[in-house]
Amino acid sequence: MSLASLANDPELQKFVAEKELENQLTAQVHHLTNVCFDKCLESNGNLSELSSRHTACLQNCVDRFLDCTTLITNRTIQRIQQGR
Amino acid sequence: MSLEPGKLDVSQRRQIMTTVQQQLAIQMAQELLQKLSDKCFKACVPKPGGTLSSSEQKCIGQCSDRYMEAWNIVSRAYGERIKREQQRQ
Repeated sequence: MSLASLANDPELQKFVAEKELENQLTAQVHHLTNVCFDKCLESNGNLSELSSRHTACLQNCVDRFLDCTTLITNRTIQRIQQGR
Repeated sequence: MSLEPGKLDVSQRRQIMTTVQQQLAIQMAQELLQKLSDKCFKACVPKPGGTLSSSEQKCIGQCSDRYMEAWNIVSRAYGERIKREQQRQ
């Protein structure tokens, strides 16, 4: 089984591409949880359950973080286009 | 079993896919464990002593449960956000 045979296999290539995408998405979830756990639970692990307030905070945190990323991306693209 | 150059048979392909799948799962589990340990050690063991006290152990247990729940909430929220973005386009 050579690497060449792996590279020529379209079904395998498709599978690997899908897995890479899945991996990226999961990595993003890890990162978001990392950030939002600290923000919403104030690094307090000692809770017997998550309240509805905690849940809402986590959901908002995800959306606001992604809004933030979008804003920064667009602004950065603008700067590049303006040649600064 | 001889291999025609450039061709994988069905079982070989499946074997590779399974291996890749397993590797990714292991990698993901390791990353999760690392995050859990970091977070919960920080939250529950401010001053490391000679052993983990029972209250520290309880805290660590709860912390890891809460973190896993938070992970699921974040995962769902992220999935829904992606879906909304796709519908917008």
